[in-house]
Amino acid sequence: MKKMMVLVLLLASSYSFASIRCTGNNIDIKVNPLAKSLQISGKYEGTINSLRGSGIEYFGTASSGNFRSLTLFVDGVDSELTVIGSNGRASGIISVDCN
Amino acid sequence: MNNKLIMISVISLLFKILLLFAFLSTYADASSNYVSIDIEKLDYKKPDSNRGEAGNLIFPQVRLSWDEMKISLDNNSSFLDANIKVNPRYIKFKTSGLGFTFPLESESGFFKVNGATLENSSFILNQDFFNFSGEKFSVTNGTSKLILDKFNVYCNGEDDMTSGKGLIKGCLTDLILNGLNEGDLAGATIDYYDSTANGENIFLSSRLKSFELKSSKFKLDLNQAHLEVLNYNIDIGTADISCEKESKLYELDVDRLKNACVDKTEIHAPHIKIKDKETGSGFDISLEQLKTEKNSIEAVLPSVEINGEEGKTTKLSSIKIDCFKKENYEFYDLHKIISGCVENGQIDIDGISTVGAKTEQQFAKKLNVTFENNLVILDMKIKLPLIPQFKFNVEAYVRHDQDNKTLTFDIIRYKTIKILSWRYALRKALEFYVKGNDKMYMDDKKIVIQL
Repeated sequence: MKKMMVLVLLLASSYSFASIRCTGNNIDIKVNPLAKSLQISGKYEGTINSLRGSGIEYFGTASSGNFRSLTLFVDGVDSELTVIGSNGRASGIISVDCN
Repeated sequence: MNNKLIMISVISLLFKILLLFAFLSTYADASSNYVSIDIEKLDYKKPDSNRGEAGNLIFPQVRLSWDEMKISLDNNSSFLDANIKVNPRYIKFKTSGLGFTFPLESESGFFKVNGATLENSSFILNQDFFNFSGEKFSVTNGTSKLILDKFNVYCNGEDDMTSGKGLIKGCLTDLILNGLNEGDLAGATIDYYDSTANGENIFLSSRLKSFELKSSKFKLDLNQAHLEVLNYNIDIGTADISCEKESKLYELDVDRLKNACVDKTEIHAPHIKIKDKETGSGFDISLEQLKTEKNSIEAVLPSVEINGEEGKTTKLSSIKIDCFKKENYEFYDLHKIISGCVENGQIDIDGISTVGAKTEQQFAKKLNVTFENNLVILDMKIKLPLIPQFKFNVEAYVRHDQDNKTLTFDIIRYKTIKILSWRYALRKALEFYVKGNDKMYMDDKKIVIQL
């Protein structure tokens, strides 16, 4: 029983650190909450190595790529991305589908 | 004096923009991680005693994240069009069915704002960055007014940008101000109205491609600027201006910002026009480069045209200036620059001529002035009507009185052709630098020029 409880707790905690994948509107995003990193490809390309936020919201500044910052809302229903381009201009809200 | 007012206006403008950011940050409470608002229209007017109806707000959509909760509001059928009410501690947005109340920080700059308007704007703030863009924005504190057209502002910070302190730090280390749309060549438009300490109106209108601050360097890429101050209209065409900022300065210390900037500046401004509205006189200046270091100022000016009150134009061509500058001395304050040049400096002018409607008559060429510890040696070749070109050399002690705005030359010795008195030759030379003889006094051993 104890082992079962530990397993459930481990599964529950690992779920919140599970990687997230979002696609749509010519954008592909992989979020690794544990490593605090994000990779984006497609219309915007690059990496964030010091991702902030958790749960439903992630944001950060690009370590490399063709954008400066982004914010990602992940709620499994209406996920939304806003990207700040290299010229400091915001993309507007971009709809994406996240797992 | 006028240049000083330009700089004060620009610093004041920067200060007010950053103050505005701090003001806007009061909307994002510390417990909120993220705010994104699209604003179709905002009309805000501060009520008497900071209490009561304050205008209205129309916003198509809002995204908020509040701890672990995401709030999405889409204003379908205008059901979220809001009236604004304020009291000294809160601001409330009241819609037909909802109310949003935000506490106001007691130290916030909120009530310094008398009125504000926004059209088709977007505002994003989270712990990492801040973005504010729109078609039109205006803000006034009663005495000054700032208007931005088709603008975009982005700041990025390492500290929490949702706090006023973090926001200012971020905007003082990584800032972009540019046009709303990438393809818009006009860039952002900034209009700014203010008044001097003496109550004279100032109006600055500028169109800039970009204004950037990265770590320790300001960089302004200007399309054009127009400044009205006192009796003067000043127009600047395209210009590149950059200057230093202390890399570890994270607060709005205007003096420290100014001092670092004036001690390391670089300006390229090929078209500067200064006109006295009352007399019609003025200057047309082409500035290839102006460069300052802590203790020096260098300038290269392909030409300076001095347009006199009676339609007379004097043209100075190919000017090079290399002078001592005291630390923190403003390069736009003529008298501070003259005081440095007099201490140690070199000024070379290739030619001086009078320009008529169809003619250009060269009066002097190869003018070299060397200053060393208030001793000045002037060399030039002069051409006067009916007299062959001759060399003129004078050595004098020079005193610069900043309070009385005078330059006094005590003549030690001179050398010129024998048929001319040095006073006649020098008077003719100096007439090219001063408007009329009433600004110049001369006796056997002394020349005093009122600047």
